[in-house]
Amino acid sequence: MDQAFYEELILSVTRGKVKDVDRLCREALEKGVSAFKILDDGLLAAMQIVAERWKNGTVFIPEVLIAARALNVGLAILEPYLVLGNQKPKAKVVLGTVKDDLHDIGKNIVGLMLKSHGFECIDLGVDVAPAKFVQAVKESGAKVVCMSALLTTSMIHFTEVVQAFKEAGLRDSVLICVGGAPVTATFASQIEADIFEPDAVTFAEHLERRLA
Amino acid sequence: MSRRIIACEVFKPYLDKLLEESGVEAVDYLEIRQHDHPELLARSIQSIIDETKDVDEILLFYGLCGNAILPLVSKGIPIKVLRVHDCAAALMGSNAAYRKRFEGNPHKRYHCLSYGERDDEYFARTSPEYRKISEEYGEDNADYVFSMLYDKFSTPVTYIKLGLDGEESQIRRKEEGYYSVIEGDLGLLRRMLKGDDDHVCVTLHPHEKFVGIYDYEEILTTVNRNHDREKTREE
Repeated sequence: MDQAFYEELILSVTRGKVKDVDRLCREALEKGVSAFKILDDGLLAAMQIVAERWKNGTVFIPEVLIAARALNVGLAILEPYLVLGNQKPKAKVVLGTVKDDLHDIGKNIVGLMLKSHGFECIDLGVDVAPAKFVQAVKESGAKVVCMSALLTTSMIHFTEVVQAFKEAGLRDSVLICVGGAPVTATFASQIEADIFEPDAVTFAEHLERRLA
Repeated sequence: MSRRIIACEVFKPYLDKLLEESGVEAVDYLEIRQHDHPELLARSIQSIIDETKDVDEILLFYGLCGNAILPLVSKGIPIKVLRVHDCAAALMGSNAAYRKRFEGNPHKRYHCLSYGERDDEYFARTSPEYRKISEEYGEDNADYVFSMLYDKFSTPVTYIKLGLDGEESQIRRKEEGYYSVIEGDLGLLRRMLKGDDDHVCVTLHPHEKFVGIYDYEEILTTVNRNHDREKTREE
Protein backbone atom coordinates (compact mmCIF):
# COMPACT_ATOMS: atom_id res chain seq x y z
CA MET A 1 0.00 0.00 0.00
CA ASP A 2 1.27 3.47 -0.79
CA GLN A 3 1.78 6.37 1.56
CA ALA A 4 -1.65 7.80 0.66
CA PHE A 5 -3.26 4.66 2.09
CA TYR A 6 -1.55 5.05 5.44
CA GLU A 7 -2.35 8.76 5.50
CA GLU A 8 -6.03 7.95 4.95
CA LEU A 9 -5.96 5.28 7.66
CA ILE A 10 -4.25 7.63 10.11
CA LEU A 11 -6.77 10.37 9.39
CA SER A 12 -9.66 7.93 9.76
CA VAL A 13 -8.41 6.90 13.21
CA THR A 14 -7.80 10.45 14.44
CA ARG A 15 -11.20 11.57 13.08
CA GLY A 16 -12.98 8.54 14.54
CA LYS A 17 -14.24 7.28 11.19
CA VAL A 18 -14.79 3.72 12.31
CA LYS A 19 -16.36 2.49 9.07
CA ASP A 20 -13.40 3.75 7.09
CA VAL A 21 -10.95 2.17 9.54
CA ASP A 22 -12.81 -1.11 9.19
CA ARG A 23 -12.80 -0.92 5.38
CA LEU A 24 -9.16 0.14 5.06
CA CYS A 25 -7.83 -2.56 7.39
CA ARG A 26 -9.76 -5.27 5.55
CA GLU A 27 -8.65 -3.98 2.15
CA ALA A 28 -5.02 -3.96 3.19
CA LEU A 29 -5.19 -7.50 4.60
CA GLU A 30 -6.87 -8.72 1.41
CA LYS A 31 -4.01 -7.22 -0.58
CA GLY A 32 -1.56 -9.18 1.54
CA VAL A 33 -0.18 -6.38 3.67
CA SER A 34 1.20 -7.62 6.98
CA ALA A 35 -1.07 -6.96 9.96
CA PHE A 36 1.99 -5.74 11.85
CA LYS A 37 2.68 -3.11 9.18
CA ILE A 38 -0.94 -1.91 9.17
CA LEU A 39 -0.76 -1.73 12.95
CA ASP A 40 2.57 0.10 13.13
CA ASP A 41 2.29 2.48 10.16
CA GLY A 42 -1.45 3.09 10.40
CA LEU A 43 -3.19 2.53 13.70
CA LEU A 44 -0.29 3.17 16.08
CA ALA A 45 1.05 6.05 14.01
CA ALA A 46 -2.38 7.66 14.38
CA MET A 47 -2.36 7.16 18.14
CA GLN A 48 1.12 8.64 18.28
CA ILE A 49 -0.24 11.79 16.63
CA VAL A 50 -3.13 11.94 19.08
CA ALA A 51 -0.70 11.43 21.98
CA GLU A 52 1.44 14.35 20.74
CA ARG A 53 -1.62 16.57 20.40
CA TRP A 54 -2.73 15.57 23.86
CA LYS A 55 0.69 16.41 25.23
CA ASN A 56 0.58 19.81 23.54
CA GLY A 57 -2.90 20.49 24.82
CA THR A 58 -4.46 20.77 21.37
CA VAL A 59 -6.87 17.87 21.93
CA PHE A 60 -8.78 16.77 25.01
CA ILE A 61 -10.38 13.62 26.38
CA PRO A 62 -13.15 13.39 23.75
CA GLU A 63 -10.65 13.31 20.88
CA VAL A 64 -8.57 10.64 22.64
CA LEU A 65 -11.65 8.50 23.25
CA ILE A 66 -12.79 8.89 19.65
CA ALA A 67 -9.40 7.84 18.28
CA ALA A 68 -9.05 4.96 20.75
CA ARG A 69 -12.43 3.63 19.71
CA ALA A 70 -11.45 3.70 16.03
CA LEU A 71 -8.14 2.06 16.93
CA ASN A 72 -10.02 -0.78 18.63
CA VAL A 73 -12.15 -1.34 15.53
CA GLY A 74 -8.99 -1.74 13.47
CA LEU A 75 -7.36 -3.89 16.09
CA ALA A 76 -10.30 -6.31 16.18
CA ILE A 77 -9.76 -6.91 12.46
CA LEU A 78 -5.99 -7.25 12.71
CA GLU A 79 -5.87 -9.29 15.90
CA PRO A 80 -6.26 -12.77 14.36
CA TYR A 81 -3.35 -11.96 12.05
CA LEU A 82 -1.12 -10.65 14.82
CA VAL A 83 -0.44 -14.12 16.19
CA LEU A 84 3.02 -15.36 15.46
CA GLY A 85 2.30 -18.54 13.55
CA ASN A 86 3.64 -21.56 15.40
CA GLN A 87 5.97 -19.48 17.49
CA LYS A 88 5.45 -19.60 21.21
CA PRO A 89 4.57 -16.31 22.91
CA LYS A 90 7.60 -14.47 24.30
CA ALA A 91 5.98 -14.56 27.71
CA LYS A 92 2.61 -14.60 29.39
CA VAL A 93 1.56 -11.26 30.82
CA VAL A 94 -1.18 -10.63 33.34
CA LEU A 95 -2.56 -7.12 33.12
CA GLY A 96 -5.30 -5.10 34.76
CA THR A 97 -6.41 -1.78 36.17
CA VAL A 98 -5.98 -1.72 39.94
CA LYS A 99 -8.75 -1.83 42.51
CA ASP A 100 -11.09 1.17 42.71
CA ASP A 101 -10.25 2.31 39.21
CA LEU A 102 -12.40 1.73 36.14
CA HIS A 103 -10.26 3.40 33.52
CA ASP A 104 -8.98 1.05 30.88
CA ILE A 105 -8.06 2.97 27.75
CA GLY A 106 -4.34 3.00 28.57
CA LYS A 107 -4.37 -0.57 29.81
CA ASN A 108 -6.01 -1.74 26.58
CA ILE A 109 -3.43 0.07 24.49
CA VAL A 110 -0.65 -1.62 26.48
CA GLY A 111 -2.35 -5.00 25.89
CA LEU A 112 -2.45 -4.26 22.20
CA MET A 113 1.24 -3.30 22.11
CA LEU A 114 2.23 -6.42 24.00
CA LYS A 115 0.28 -8.68 21.67
CA SER A 116 1.82 -7.00 18.65
CA HIS A 117 5.25 -7.69 20.17
CA GLY A 118 4.48 -11.39 20.58
CA PHE A 119 3.34 -11.59 24.20
CA GLU A 120 0.28 -13.50 25.39
CA CYS A 121 -1.99 -11.27 27.46
CA ILE A 122 -4.33 -12.33 30.23
CA ASP A 123 -6.46 -9.25 30.73
CA LEU A 124 -8.16 -9.13 34.13
CA GLY A 125 -10.12 -5.98 33.30
CA VAL A 126 -10.70 -3.09 35.68
CA ASP A 127 -11.08 -2.70 39.45
CA VAL A 128 -8.83 -5.73 40.04
CA ALA A 129 -8.12 -6.69 43.65
CA PRO A 130 -4.50 -7.57 44.60
CA ALA A 131 -5.40 -11.21 45.28
CA LYS A 132 -6.78 -11.55 41.77
CA PHE A 133 -3.44 -10.55 40.23
CA VAL A 134 -1.69 -13.17 42.36
CA GLN A 135 -4.26 -15.83 41.55
CA ALA A 136 -3.96 -15.14 37.80
CA VAL A 137 -0.18 -15.53 37.97
CA LYS A 138 -0.48 -18.79 39.91
CA GLU A 139 -2.98 -20.19 37.43
CA SER A 140 -1.27 -19.06 34.24
CA GLY A 141 2.38 -19.21 35.20
CA ALA A 142 2.79 -15.67 33.86
CA LYS A 143 6.16 -14.06 34.44
CA VAL A 144 5.00 -10.48 33.98
CA VAL A 145 2.33 -8.44 35.76
CA CYS A 146 1.24 -5.08 34.37
CA MET A 147 -1.01 -2.80 36.35
CA SER A 148 -2.34 0.64 35.64
CA ALA A 149 -4.35 3.43 37.26
CA LEU A 150 -5.69 6.79 36.20
CA LEU A 151 -6.74 8.08 39.60
CA THR A 152 -4.23 9.13 42.24
CA THR A 153 -6.73 7.80 44.79
CA SER A 154 -6.31 4.26 43.50
CA MET A 155 -2.51 4.33 43.32
CA ILE A 156 -2.36 3.07 46.89
CA HIS A 157 -3.38 -0.33 45.49
CA PHE A 158 -0.16 -0.66 43.49
CA THR A 159 1.68 -1.06 46.77
CA GLU A 160 -0.85 -3.64 47.91
CA VAL A 161 -0.34 -5.71 44.78
CA VAL A 162 3.44 -5.72 45.29
CA GLN A 163 2.87 -6.71 48.90
CA ALA A 164 0.45 -9.48 47.87
CA PHE A 165 3.13 -10.99 45.62
CA LYS A 166 5.66 -10.82 48.45
CA GLU A 167 3.26 -12.57 50.81
CA ALA A 168 2.54 -15.26 48.21
CA GLY A 169 6.30 -15.86 47.86
CA LEU A 170 6.13 -14.90 44.19
CA ARG A 171 7.72 -11.47 44.18
CA ASP A 172 11.05 -12.67 42.78
CA SER A 173 9.48 -14.78 40.07
CA VAL A 174 7.50 -12.00 38.36
CA LEU A 175 8.39 -8.68 36.76
CA ILE A 176 6.02 -6.05 38.10
CA CYS A 177 5.32 -3.25 35.65
CA VAL A 178 3.33 -0.11 36.38
CA GLY A 179 1.85 2.62 34.24
CA GLY A 180 -0.94 5.15 33.88
CA ALA A 181 -1.24 8.90 33.57
CA PRO A 182 -0.34 9.81 37.19
CA VAL A 183 2.39 7.18 37.56
CA THR A 184 5.96 8.44 37.55
CA ALA A 185 9.39 6.82 37.60
CA THR A 186 9.84 8.07 41.16
CA PHE A 187 6.65 6.39 42.27
CA ALA A 188 7.56 3.16 40.49
CA SER A 189 10.87 3.16 42.29
CA GLN A 190 9.20 3.88 45.66
CA ILE A 191 6.97 0.82 45.39
CA GLU A 192 9.83 -1.32 44.05
CA ALA A 193 8.22 -1.98 40.69
CA ASP A 194 10.55 -3.48 38.10
CA ILE A 195 9.55 -1.55 35.01
CA PHE A 196 7.93 1.81 34.33
CA GLU A 197 7.72 3.52 30.98
CA PRO A 198 5.66 6.57 30.12
CA ASP A 199 4.02 5.10 27.03
CA ALA A 200 2.85 1.75 25.70
CA VAL A 201 5.23 1.46 22.75
CA THR A 202 8.35 2.17 24.81
CA PHE A 203 7.11 -0.22 27.46
CA ALA A 204 6.57 -3.12 25.04
CA GLU A 205 10.05 -2.59 23.62
CA HIS A 206 11.55 -2.41 27.10
CA LEU A 207 9.85 -5.64 28.15
CA GLU A 208 11.01 -7.35 24.99
CA ARG A 209 14.64 -6.36 25.71
CA ARG A 210 14.36 -7.34 29.36
CA LEU A 211 13.15 -10.84 28.54
CA ALA A 212 15.44 -11.39 25.56
CA MET B 1 0.36 38.47 56.24
CA SER B 2 -0.26 39.25 52.57
CA ARG B 3 -1.10 36.49 50.16
CA ARG B 4 -2.39 35.61 46.75
CA ILE B 5 -5.09 32.98 46.30
CA ILE B 6 -5.25 30.79 43.20
CA ALA B 7 -8.13 28.33 43.00
CA CYS B 8 -10.00 25.96 40.77
CA GLU B 9 -13.37 27.51 39.99
CA VAL B 10 -15.01 24.44 41.51
CA PHE B 11 -14.35 26.18 44.85
CA LYS B 12 -15.73 29.57 43.82
CA PRO B 13 -19.10 29.51 45.60
CA TYR B 14 -17.49 28.19 48.78
CA LEU B 15 -14.50 30.52 48.84
CA ASP B 16 -16.77 33.47 48.05
CA LYS B 17 -18.79 32.58 51.14
CA LEU B 18 -15.77 31.98 53.38
CA LEU B 19 -13.98 35.11 52.22
CA GLU B 20 -17.09 37.12 52.93
CA GLU B 21 -16.84 35.87 56.50
CA SER B 22 -13.14 36.63 56.84
CA GLY B 23 -12.79 39.79 54.77
CA VAL B 24 -12.91 39.95 50.99
CA GLU B 25 -9.78 39.06 49.04
CA ALA B 26 -9.33 38.64 45.32
CA VAL B 27 -9.02 35.09 44.04
CA ASP B 28 -7.64 33.99 40.67
CA TYR B 29 -9.95 31.24 39.51
CA LEU B 30 -8.91 28.81 36.81
CA GLU B 31 -11.38 26.86 34.68
CA ILE B 32 -12.60 23.50 36.04
CA ARG B 33 -12.02 21.94 32.64
CA GLN B 34 -8.26 22.42 33.01
CA HIS B 35 -8.26 19.48 35.42
CA ASP B 36 -8.76 17.25 32.38
CA HIS B 37 -5.26 18.20 31.34
CA PRO B 38 -2.77 18.19 34.24
CA GLU B 39 0.21 19.50 32.23
CA LEU B 40 -1.72 22.51 30.97
CA LEU B 41 -3.15 23.16 34.41
CA ALA B 42 0.36 23.14 35.88
CA ARG B 43 1.50 25.67 33.28
CA SER B 44 -1.49 27.94 33.97
CA ILE B 45 -0.87 27.88 37.71
CA GLN B 46 2.88 28.36 37.33
CA SER B 47 2.41 31.41 35.11
CA ILE B 48 0.31 33.09 37.82
CA ILE B 49 2.88 32.09 40.45
CA ASP B 50 5.69 33.53 38.33
CA GLU B 51 4.02 36.90 37.92
CA THR B 52 3.25 37.18 41.64
CA LYS B 53 5.27 39.70 43.62
CA ASP B 54 5.11 41.46 46.96
CA VAL B 55 3.12 38.86 48.89
CA ASP B 56 4.24 36.60 51.75
CA GLU B 57 2.63 33.42 50.48
CA ILE B 58 0.55 31.88 47.73
CA LEU B 59 -2.45 29.72 48.65
CA LEU B 60 -3.36 27.14 46.04
CA PHE B 61 -6.82 25.65 46.28
CA TYR B 62 -5.81 22.52 44.44
CA GLY B 63 -4.92 19.03 45.59
CA LEU B 64 -2.81 16.48 43.76
CA CYS B 65 -5.35 16.81 40.92
CA GLY B 66 -3.92 14.04 38.76
CA ASN B 67 -0.37 15.17 39.64
CA ALA B 68 -0.95 18.61 38.10
CA ILE B 69 0.70 20.34 41.02
CA LEU B 70 3.86 18.21 41.12
CA PRO B 71 5.85 20.30 38.60
CA LEU B 72 5.18 23.60 40.37
CA VAL B 73 8.17 25.64 41.46
CA SER B 74 8.48 28.35 44.10
CA LYS B 75 10.83 31.07 42.97
CA GLY B 76 10.86 32.84 46.31
CA ILE B 77 7.33 32.96 47.69
CA PRO B 78 6.20 29.87 49.64
CA ILE B 79 3.29 28.02 48.02
CA LYS B 80 0.66 26.25 50.11
CA VAL B 81 -1.44 23.53 48.52
CA LEU B 82 -4.34 21.52 49.95
CA ARG B 83 -3.31 18.13 51.33
CA VAL B 84 -5.98 16.25 49.34
CA HIS B 85 -6.27 14.17 46.20
CA ASP B 86 -8.96 16.36 44.67
CA CYS B 87 -11.88 18.69 45.25
CA ALA B 88 -14.26 15.93 46.40
CA ALA B 89 -12.07 15.30 49.47
CA ALA B 90 -11.74 19.02 50.12
CA LEU B 91 -15.51 19.50 50.03
CA MET B 92 -16.14 16.48 52.24
CA GLY B 93 -13.89 18.11 54.83
CA SER B 94 -11.27 15.37 55.21
CA ASN B 95 -9.36 12.65 53.43
CA ALA B 96 -10.80 10.09 55.85
CA ALA B 97 -14.36 11.03 54.85
CA TYR B 98 -13.41 10.77 51.19
CA ARG B 99 -11.71 7.43 51.64
CA LYS B 100 -14.76 5.99 53.37
CA ARG B 101 -16.94 6.98 50.42
CA PHE B 102 -14.50 6.18 47.62
CA GLU B 103 -13.18 2.75 48.56
CA GLY B 104 -15.26 0.02 47.06
CA ASN B 105 -17.32 2.59 45.13
CA PRO B 106 -15.17 3.60 42.19
CA HIS B 107 -18.31 3.92 40.06
CA LYS B 108 -19.41 6.96 42.01
CA ARG B 109 -19.27 10.40 40.57
CA TYR B 110 -19.35 13.45 42.78
CA HIS B 111 -21.17 16.67 42.12
CA CYS B 112 -21.50 19.91 43.97
CA LEU B 113 -22.92 23.33 43.27
CA SER B 114 -20.26 24.37 40.78
CA TYR B 115 -19.69 20.93 39.33
CA GLY B 116 -23.40 20.27 38.93
CA GLU B 117 -23.78 23.39 36.84
CA ARG B 118 -20.75 22.42 34.83
CA ASP B 119 -22.11 18.95 34.22
CA ASP B 120 -25.51 20.23 33.15
CA GLU B 121 -23.81 22.43 30.65
CA TYR B 122 -20.92 20.17 29.72
CA PHE B 123 -22.31 16.66 29.60
CA ALA B 124 -25.96 16.93 28.55
CA ARG B 125 -26.86 15.74 25.04
CA THR B 126 -28.26 19.20 24.40
CA SER B 127 -25.03 20.90 25.49
CA PRO B 128 -22.76 23.00 23.26
CA GLU B 129 -20.01 20.44 23.96
CA TYR B 130 -22.13 17.60 22.56
CA ARG B 131 -23.05 19.69 19.52
CA LYS B 132 -19.40 20.59 18.99
CA ILE B 133 -18.24 16.95 19.05
CA SER B 134 -21.21 15.89 16.96
CA GLU B 135 -20.51 18.49 14.28
CA GLU B 136 -16.82 17.68 14.15
CA TYR B 137 -16.80 13.90 14.58
CA GLY B 138 -20.42 12.83 13.96
CA GLU B 139 -23.28 11.98 16.27
CA ASP B 140 -22.15 8.40 16.71
CA ASN B 141 -18.81 9.55 18.14
CA ALA B 142 -20.47 12.20 20.30
CA ASP B 143 -22.77 9.54 21.75
CA TYR B 144 -19.80 7.29 22.39
CA VAL B 145 -17.83 10.03 24.16
CA PHE B 146 -20.76 10.97 26.34
CA SER B 147 -21.48 7.34 27.19
CA MET B 148 -17.85 6.87 28.24
CA LEU B 149 -17.57 10.09 30.21
CA TYR B 150 -21.02 10.26 31.63
CA ASP B 151 -23.20 7.18 31.37
CA LYS B 152 -20.48 4.66 32.23
CA PHE B 153 -20.46 5.74 35.83
CA SER B 154 -23.49 4.69 37.77
CA THR B 155 -26.15 6.85 39.32
CA PRO B 156 -27.07 7.96 41.86
CA VAL B 157 -24.38 10.60 41.63
CA THR B 158 -23.20 11.68 45.07
CA TYR B 159 -24.04 15.34 45.55
CA ILE B 160 -21.98 17.14 48.19
CA LYS B 161 -24.24 19.66 49.83
CA LEU B 162 -22.71 22.52 51.76
CA GLY B 163 -25.69 24.70 52.58
CA LEU B 164 -25.36 27.26 49.81
CA ASP B 165 -28.10 28.97 47.83
CA GLY B 166 -28.80 27.19 44.59
CA GLU B 167 -28.07 23.65 45.80
CA GLU B 168 -31.68 22.69 46.48
CA SER B 169 -32.92 23.88 43.10
CA GLN B 170 -30.06 22.05 41.39
CA ILE B 171 -30.94 18.84 43.19
CA ARG B 172 -34.67 19.25 42.40
CA ARG B 173 -33.93 19.90 38.74
CA LYS B 174 -32.58 16.36 38.33
CA GLU B 175 -34.88 13.37 38.07
CA GLU B 176 -35.65 11.55 41.29
CA GLY B 177 -32.92 9.10 42.24
CA TYR B 178 -30.26 10.88 40.20
CA TYR B 179 -28.57 12.40 43.22
CA SER B 180 -27.66 10.77 46.50
CA VAL B 181 -27.08 13.77 48.73
CA ILE B 182 -24.41 13.88 51.44
CA GLU B 183 -23.49 16.70 53.78
CA GLY B 184 -20.12 18.23 53.01
CA ASP B 185 -17.90 20.21 55.34
CA LEU B 186 -16.20 23.52 54.62
CA GLY B 187 -13.86 23.07 57.60
CA LEU B 188 -10.87 22.09 55.53
CA LEU B 189 -11.17 25.10 53.22
CA ARG B 190 -11.71 27.37 56.22
CA ARG B 191 -8.57 26.05 57.93
CA MET B 192 -6.58 26.52 54.74
CA LEU B 193 -7.64 30.16 54.61
CA LYS B 194 -6.58 30.63 58.22
CA GLY B 195 -3.16 29.24 57.35
CA ASP B 196 -0.36 27.60 59.37
CA ASP B 197 -1.99 24.20 59.49
CA ASP B 198 0.19 21.36 58.24
CA HIS B 199 -2.69 18.93 58.47
CA VAL B 200 -4.63 20.66 55.73
CA CYS B 201 -1.83 21.93 53.52
CA VAL B 202 1.70 21.27 52.32
CA THR B 203 4.11 24.19 51.90
CA LEU B 204 6.54 24.34 49.01
CA HIS B 205 9.62 26.51 49.58
CA PRO B 206 12.20 27.54 46.99
CA HIS B 207 14.66 24.67 46.27
CA GLU B 208 11.94 22.12 47.09
CA LYS B 209 9.66 20.06 44.91
CA PHE B 210 6.38 18.26 45.53
CA VAL B 211 6.35 14.47 45.66
CA GLY B 212 3.15 12.42 45.62
CA ILE B 213 2.66 9.90 48.44
CA TYR B 214 -0.73 8.66 47.17
CA ASP B 215 -2.10 7.46 50.47
CA TYR B 216 -5.08 8.89 52.32
CA GLU B 217 -3.25 10.77 55.07
CA GLU B 218 -0.08 12.45 53.90
CA ILE B 219 -1.15 12.55 50.22
CA LEU B 220 1.92 14.53 49.15
CA THR B 221 5.09 15.97 50.61
CA THR B 222 8.07 18.10 49.60
CA VAL B 223 11.72 17.16 49.22
CA ASN B 224 14.83 19.12 48.35
CA ARG B 225 15.05 19.62 44.59
CA ASN B 226 18.57 18.14 44.70
CA HIS B 227 17.24 15.00 46.36
CA ASP B 228 17.43 12.87 43.21
CA ARG B 229 20.90 14.13 42.36
CA GLU B 230 22.13 13.35 45.87
CA LYS B 231 20.58 9.90 45.67
CA THR B 232 22.32 9.23 42.37
CA ARG B 233 25.67 10.30 43.85
CA GLU B 234 25.16 7.94 46.82
CA GLU B 235 24.49 5.06 44.44
